[in-house]
Amino acid sequence: MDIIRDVFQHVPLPFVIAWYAIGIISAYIFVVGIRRHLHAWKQGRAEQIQGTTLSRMRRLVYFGLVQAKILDKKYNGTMHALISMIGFLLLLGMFFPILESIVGYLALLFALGLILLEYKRLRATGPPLETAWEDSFVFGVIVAMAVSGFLMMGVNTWAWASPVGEVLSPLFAPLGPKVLVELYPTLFLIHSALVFSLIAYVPNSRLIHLITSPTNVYCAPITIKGEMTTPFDLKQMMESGNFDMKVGASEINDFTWRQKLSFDACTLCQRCSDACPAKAGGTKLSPMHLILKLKNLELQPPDTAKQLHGQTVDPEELWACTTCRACVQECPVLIHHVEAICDMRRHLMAEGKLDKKKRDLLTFLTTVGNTYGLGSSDRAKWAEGLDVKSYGDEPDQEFLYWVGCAGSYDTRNQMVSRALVKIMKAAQIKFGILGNEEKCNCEVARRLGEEGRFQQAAMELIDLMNKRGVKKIVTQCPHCYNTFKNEYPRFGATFQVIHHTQLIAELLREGKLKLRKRIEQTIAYHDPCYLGRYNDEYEAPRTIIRTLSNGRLVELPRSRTKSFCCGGGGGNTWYTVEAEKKCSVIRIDEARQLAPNILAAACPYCISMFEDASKALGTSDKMPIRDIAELVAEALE
Amino acid sequence: MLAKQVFYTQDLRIDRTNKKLVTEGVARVISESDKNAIEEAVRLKEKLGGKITVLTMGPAQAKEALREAIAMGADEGYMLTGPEFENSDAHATAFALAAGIKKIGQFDIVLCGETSEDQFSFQVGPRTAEILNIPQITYAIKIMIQDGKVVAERSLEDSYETVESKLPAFITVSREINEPRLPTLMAIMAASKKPMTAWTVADVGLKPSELGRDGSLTEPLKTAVATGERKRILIQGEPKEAAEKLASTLAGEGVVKVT
Repeated sequence: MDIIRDVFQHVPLPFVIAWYAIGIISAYIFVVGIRRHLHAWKQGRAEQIQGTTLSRMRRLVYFGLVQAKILDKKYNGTMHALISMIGFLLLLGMFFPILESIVGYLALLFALGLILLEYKRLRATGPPLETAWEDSFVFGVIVAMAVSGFLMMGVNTWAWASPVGEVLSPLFAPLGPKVLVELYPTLFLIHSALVFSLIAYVPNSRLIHLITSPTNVYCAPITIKGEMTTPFDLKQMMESGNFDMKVGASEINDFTWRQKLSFDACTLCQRCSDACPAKAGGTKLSPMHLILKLKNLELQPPDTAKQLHGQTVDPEELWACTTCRACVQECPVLIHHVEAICDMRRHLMAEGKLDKKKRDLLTFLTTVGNTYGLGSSDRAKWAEGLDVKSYGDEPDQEFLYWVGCAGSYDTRNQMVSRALVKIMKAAQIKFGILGNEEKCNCEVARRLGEEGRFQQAAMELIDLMNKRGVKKIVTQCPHCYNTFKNEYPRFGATFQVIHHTQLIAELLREGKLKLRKRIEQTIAYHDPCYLGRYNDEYEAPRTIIRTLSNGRLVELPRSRTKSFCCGGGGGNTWYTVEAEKKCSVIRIDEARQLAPNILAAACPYCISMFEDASKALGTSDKMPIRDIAELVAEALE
Repeated sequence: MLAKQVFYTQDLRIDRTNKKLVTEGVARVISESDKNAIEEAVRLKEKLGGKITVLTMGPAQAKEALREAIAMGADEGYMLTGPEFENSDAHATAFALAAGIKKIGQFDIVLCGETSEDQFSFQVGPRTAEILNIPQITYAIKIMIQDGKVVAERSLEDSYETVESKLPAFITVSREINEPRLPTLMAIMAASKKPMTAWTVADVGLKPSELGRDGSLTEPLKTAVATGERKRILIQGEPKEAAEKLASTLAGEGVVKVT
C-alpha cells in the first residue's frame, strides 16, 4: 500500500498551534512587504495592459511555468527549473496530503538543483553573477530547509518503506523508535519555520522575483516589436492647439505602473548586460544595473529618494544605448530596457541640453532633411547617369525605391544603392525614387527622443507618398524598413514595405533574377538588429548568400537572435559616447576568428561601422565588408 | 534680446546663370550666435529671475524665430515687419531695432549675437547700442551680474579681456559662450500660445525714409560669384614615395617650407 504523508501526521497539538502561529506571523510580514511593492508601482502613470487575457495566460505558461527563456541557458536553466518548479511542488506538499514516495523523489531533485547551484557558485563559468550577503543567507536557509526535510524522512519511521526512507532508515534506526517519534515533531516545526521565514523574507530579498517576474510576464505588453511607444498624437494636438503635456520620464513616477513593476521583476541574472554591445564596449551603460537603479529608486521612501536624472541615471548611460534589443531579447522575465531608456531620453530631449553633435543632427533633420547635413538638392546625385525614374513619372511602377540618407549621401552606401538599381533593372522591376523630395523619415529623431519631429516627418512623408500613389516600398536600410513597416501605420500609412534582401530572395526564387556566376567564397552574414531581432527576418539574406556562394554561408558565433550590434543604431552613428572599445571593432574581431572571405551585412549603418573598424584592424583586404545587394550585383556580371 | 532669422546657409546654392542665391525650399533658422544670446538670456533668467523679451525684424516668417526663442525660454516676442524694413543695411536696421527696444520700455540688458550668419557685418549690435546711448560689451564669452553691475569676459583676436559696466548695458555674445539648448518641435508649437506682437513702421514711430534702401548708408552695387578652381593633382604610388612627392609638390607651390 502507498504511504500518504498528511500535513499534521504524528504531530501533537502544541506543535500544530506553534505551526499556525509561525505561519500566520510569516504571512503577515509577507503581506506587509508585498504591499510596499504594490504601493511603489501604483505611484506610476496609468497604463492599460494590452492583449487578450488568453494571449497573456499563454505567455505566462510559456515564459513563467515552462520557463522557456530560462531553459535557453542549459546549466542555469536546469538548475533554476529544479529549484523553482520542484520547490513549488514541495511547498504544495506542505499543505496537502501527498504520496511519501513522491516527496522523496521531488526532494532528491530539489537537492540536485541546490548542488548545481553551489557548484556554479564555487566554479563560476563565464562572468560571475553579482551576489550579496543576503543571497548567501537565503541560500543557507534553503539548504537548512532541505537538510531538515531529509532528516524528517529519516526520522519518520512510518515512512521507512518509502524509497528515500529505505535508504535513510539504517542511519536513524539505532536511535530507537521512542526517540525518533519524539524527534519528528521538532524537526517538522524547524523545517516548517524555515519555509515560513523564507516566505516572510520574499518581499525584502531577491526572491521577490517569485512574485514580480511572473506578474510582469503576464502584464508585459503584447505589441509590435519594432514600434516605439507613442506618447502623444501631434496631429490631434495641432488641431486642438493644446500642447501642454509632459513628455518622457523626468522622475521615477513618470514611468507607468507596469514599467515600475517590470523594474521590480529583475532577477539580476545579468543576461541583458552580457548581451549588451554598449556594456561590452565599456560605456557607462549596463542594462541590468540601469534597471536595478530604477528598482531601488522606486522602492525608496519619496522624501529620501534621489533624483532620477543626474543622481541615479547618467545621461551618458542613456545615450550609449544602440536600441539593438539584445537585452530585451535575452530577458527571461520580459523587461523592456530599451523602452525605459527611450522614455528617459525623451526627457533629456525636452530639456534640450544636448551636445553639439546631437543638436547638429536634429538641426540637419529640420533644415536639410538628412542626417548628414548635406544639401537637400544633392539627395539624388548618386543616381546621376543611372537612368533612375522619379516615382510617378512612369506608369505601372511597382515599387517606390526608398534610398534613405546613407544610400543617398554616404559614398560607401551609394555603392549599395547603385547595386540595388542594377539588380532591379536586371529583374525588370519598374520602380521610381522620390529624388530630392525624399527626406529622412526621422527614425533616428524618434530614437533620440524627439517624438514631435518624428511625427511631423511621418505626416509629411505619408502625405507626399499618398499624393504620388505609392503602394509598395523597397528599402536597403533596415531602420527605414522598420519605421515604415511598424511605426508609420499608426500615422495613417498603408504601404507594403519590404527590405531589399526580401525582394532579392523572392526574385531569385521566382527565377526573375538569374545569376550569371557564383561567388565561390565563404561568406559570413551579420544580422542587422532592425532586420533580425526587430523583424524576425533571418532567412531571406541567408537564402541569397547560399544561392550566390553555392552554399558557402558560414555562421558567426553570435548570429540570428544573438547577433551583436555594429554600434550604429539608436542615433549612435551620429555622436560620440565615451567607450573603451567600439562595438564594430568587437564584432570584426569576432568575425575574423572565423576567417570568412567576406563579411556580408544588409544595413547601411553596419556597412559604415564595419568599414571603419576593418580599416582600424587592417582586415579590409582579408575580409571585405559587402552588402548583400553588392554581392548579388557582382554575380549578375 | 535681439534675434535674427536667416536662411540655413549650408543649404544655400548659387544659380550660376543669374548669380542669385537659390532660396526656394531653403529652411530658415535663428542665426547661430543669436541662439547663443538667447541661451545666455535664459541662463541669466534661471539664475536671477526676470523677464526675457525677444525682438526681431524681418518678413512674416520671422515669427517662427520668435516661437523658437520662446520655446527656448523667452517670455514674449515682438517683431518689426513690413515692406519698409526690407533692404535695410546695418545702420537702418540698428535704427529700427533701437526704436523697437525703446517702445518695449525698461530693460537691464540687451543681448544679441555678435553677427548674423547671412550678412556677417558685426555691426548691428554696436550700432544699436550707440543709438540707445548705453554702454556696450562686444564678443562676450562670459557674463556675470554682480551688485547691479555686469562683468563680462570678451574674446578678442589674440587675447581675453574682462570688463565691467553699469546697467543697463548692451552685450553681443560670441559662439563660445555656451551650447544653446535645442527646443523640441512640440515646445516650438506650444510657444505659439505665448504673447507675440507684430509692429509696423507706424507702431514704432518711424518714417519709411529712415528705413530700407532710403535709410541705409550703404548700397549694394553688384553681386559677383567668387570662383576658385582646385588643381586636382593626384599623387599615386607607395605611401613613402607618394608622401615625398606630396611634400615636394607642396613646397614647389610655396604652401609649405621644407627645412
